[in-house]
Amino acid sequence: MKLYKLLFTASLVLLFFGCEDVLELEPTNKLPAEALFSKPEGVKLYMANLYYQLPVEDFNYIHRTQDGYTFNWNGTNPNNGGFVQAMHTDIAMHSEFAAGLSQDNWGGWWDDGYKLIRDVNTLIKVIPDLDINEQDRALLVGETAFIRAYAYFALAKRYGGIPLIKEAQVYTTDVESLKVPRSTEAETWNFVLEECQKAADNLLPGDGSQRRATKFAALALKSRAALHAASVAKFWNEAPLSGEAVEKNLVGMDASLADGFYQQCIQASEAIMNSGTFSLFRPNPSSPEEAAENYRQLFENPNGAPEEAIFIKGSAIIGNDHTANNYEIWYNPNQLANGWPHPGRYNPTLEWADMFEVYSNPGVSTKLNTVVDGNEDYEGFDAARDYINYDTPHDVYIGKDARLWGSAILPGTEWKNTIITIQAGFIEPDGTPKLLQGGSITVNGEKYYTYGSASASEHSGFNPAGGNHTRTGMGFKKFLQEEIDVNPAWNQGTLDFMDFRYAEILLNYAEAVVESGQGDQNMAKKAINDIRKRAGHTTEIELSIENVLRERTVELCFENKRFYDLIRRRIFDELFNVKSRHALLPVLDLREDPPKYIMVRDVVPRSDPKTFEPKWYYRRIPGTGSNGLVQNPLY
Amino acid sequence: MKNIQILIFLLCGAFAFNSCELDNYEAPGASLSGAIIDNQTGESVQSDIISGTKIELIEHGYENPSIQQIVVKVDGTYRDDMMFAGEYSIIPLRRGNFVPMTDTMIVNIEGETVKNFEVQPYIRILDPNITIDGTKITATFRLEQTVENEVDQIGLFGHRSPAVGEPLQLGKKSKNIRDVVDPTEVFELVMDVRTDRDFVRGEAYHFRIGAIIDVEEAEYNYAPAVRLTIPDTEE
Repeated sequence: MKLYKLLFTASLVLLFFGCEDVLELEPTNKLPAEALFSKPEGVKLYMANLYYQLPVEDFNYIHRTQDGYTFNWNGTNPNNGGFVQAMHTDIAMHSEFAAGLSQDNWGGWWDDGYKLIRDVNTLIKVIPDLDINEQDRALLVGETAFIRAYAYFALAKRYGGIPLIKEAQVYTTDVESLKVPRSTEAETWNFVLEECQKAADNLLPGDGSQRRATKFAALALKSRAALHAASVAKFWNEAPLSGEAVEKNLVGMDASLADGFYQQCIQASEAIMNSGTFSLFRPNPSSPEEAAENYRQLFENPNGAPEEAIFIKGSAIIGNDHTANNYEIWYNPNQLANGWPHPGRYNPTLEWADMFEVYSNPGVSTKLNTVVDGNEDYEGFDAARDYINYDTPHDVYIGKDARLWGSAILPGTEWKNTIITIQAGFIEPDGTPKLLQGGSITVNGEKYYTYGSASASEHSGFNPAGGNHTRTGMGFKKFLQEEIDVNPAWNQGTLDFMDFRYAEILLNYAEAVVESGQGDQNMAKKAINDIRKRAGHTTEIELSIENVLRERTVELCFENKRFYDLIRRRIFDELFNVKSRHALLPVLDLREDPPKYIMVRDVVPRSDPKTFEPKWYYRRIPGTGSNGLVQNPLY
Repeated sequence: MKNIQILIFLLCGAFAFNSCELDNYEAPGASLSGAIIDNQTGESVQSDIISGTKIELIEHGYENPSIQQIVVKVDGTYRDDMMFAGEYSIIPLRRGNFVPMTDTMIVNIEGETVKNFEVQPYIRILDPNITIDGTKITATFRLEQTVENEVDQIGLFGHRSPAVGEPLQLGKKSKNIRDVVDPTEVFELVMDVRTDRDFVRGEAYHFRIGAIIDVEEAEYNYAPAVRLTIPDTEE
């Protein structure tokens, strides 16, 4: 028992004296703020982390939310199913899964957004005290303003008016004092645009090769944000909402504010257009074929187009470094999978292909011509109809805009030295259709297969095996790299992403001019016609809203722009009202000798129609029970 | 030594048995049911399941209560059998196919509570009649509007589900009206599903007549759905 007493006393001694210095020690695995920011290298390191958190809608962005990620989702688990934002719009489909339009948390960016804002505010606070020269100080002011504007823009377009935390908050146990209520949507957009201007005023000119904020990147951000704000103000009444958040103007803006925002878009865009720094990449192709190849190369290597790239997000290291992407493995056609089990997932739709102009009929979208009577519906094969006979499964696309050829792999065309076979079936000599099913037939001693060849690995279309074949009749090409074979492993793609490019600024400008009547009409008309000229068009078209919007959709397709274009112009709910997306089925017609191809318009096989609910124009704000914020309508 | 062990054991036991007090709530045993009722005809007001009428409630007695929702069925009735008994505020019903309500209601839910809502539907569909002839579905009806706004659109919708409506249809025939309607005028909509592969011969589908008023956030008003079979052979 004595022993216990002794032990007890000893532990008491330890208890009261043991902690003398421990609580005063600096942790050795953490760097105090003063030490980090006291050296330029420390600031640079910190800045790299801020850029990493920047909500760039690049190759590692999905509209779904997986494992809590929307941006940089490959950080923990690179398997996002091969989804991209375009699959939630009218221009693309996933080959296997239904890309539902929305769930409440999809595409959200709240906690991570405010984490980035806190991190940038921490740096902003110490800038005046840093031991650096005034020029470097101005650059830091500009760069942090750019990052903050970028973050608030990403929040505003998702949630409307949000809490504006303009200074670093110091943690206290009095939680109530840390709560900041939502600002109105108009105040929020004004703050975003002020921060953009502050960034532009402090930063130096430069192009995309710097891979960090420049004066022009800030102006480009302003151009994009102002156009979004202007559109919400102008088109709010197309899909009005109600409730507390609307009564308090936390979402929604008065239409009278639109012109002011359009004016800011025009000014920012003009500053870039008049700078003499930027122009379109290879603006005068000699033929549509050359135009298609130029356009494709622009995305295959954006660093080769410094005249067009305004802001590039770089990617250098393969493997789990959180910047490499998986476009090569997900989206190359099935025939080129090189052992990867899940290729072919990004399928451009027939709606998208129909949207392009043909060179012979400038200024309008011309539907692909499949039937003799010209009545192009989507009703599938009908033996009673007179189809146009084509020699190849891609002849129907001849004469269409070069950007279609540059962005999609068309049936029977060559990609990476391989003919890509995409076929949906055949019509037997007696007229029996055999579509969207396996099978073969021998005619005149020649054996024909419904999908174009015997083995599932030898074709790339319509076979339901593994969800690896396109189900729209087209494959994806725009961001793939022709010279590189697929390396069948995660995170092997290091393609750089052009976040802002000159063509978008021209299109922003044209849209703002058309919608508001402000700015220079001639310059806007030239803007859209310069872009068309680069795509091989030789006839100019008029400046009209239809022309500007069509140009925007086809020029910026698959660049993660379409979704928020549909949001900001409030056309999502109108377009997606029990909407089916459509496919163009190349079918071998064995009634003809030699056999010809007919093209059948149909609903995408194994797909369901989708409807967009107006409440999804804003996302659900998480945690309103504890953060006390007013929730968005209908959540 | 043994004493200490027993003491420790007893202490652990004391913690184990006392810590769960706050979790011991009663299971939700009350129910709330009722209907959205036309204040003139006394009939329940037809609506949609997808973005149709919702009842929003806030339970009292919490600091930061979140809104609970009950979705109203297609026929205008609703029922929730998993409610906690207690006092609730019902937010005025405002988004739907009727003139928005204005007053917050307090309801005390215990046992089987019934609560009906009397509303003024924007449009009443009178004498609805749907017939089928071959693959042609013909709807005739009159409209009575209860507000001064224009009638925006009328439509005939078809789907396998009896919840058929504007957001849930395999085929539709709609027509823009954009005018104030006369209650004596007879409207006719004809939908031919001959070439529509969504409508299989010999199988049954539901068809429903709807009309929507030109008011912000308004939803369609409907007549009850009618079940019809597409004839096997074409005449």
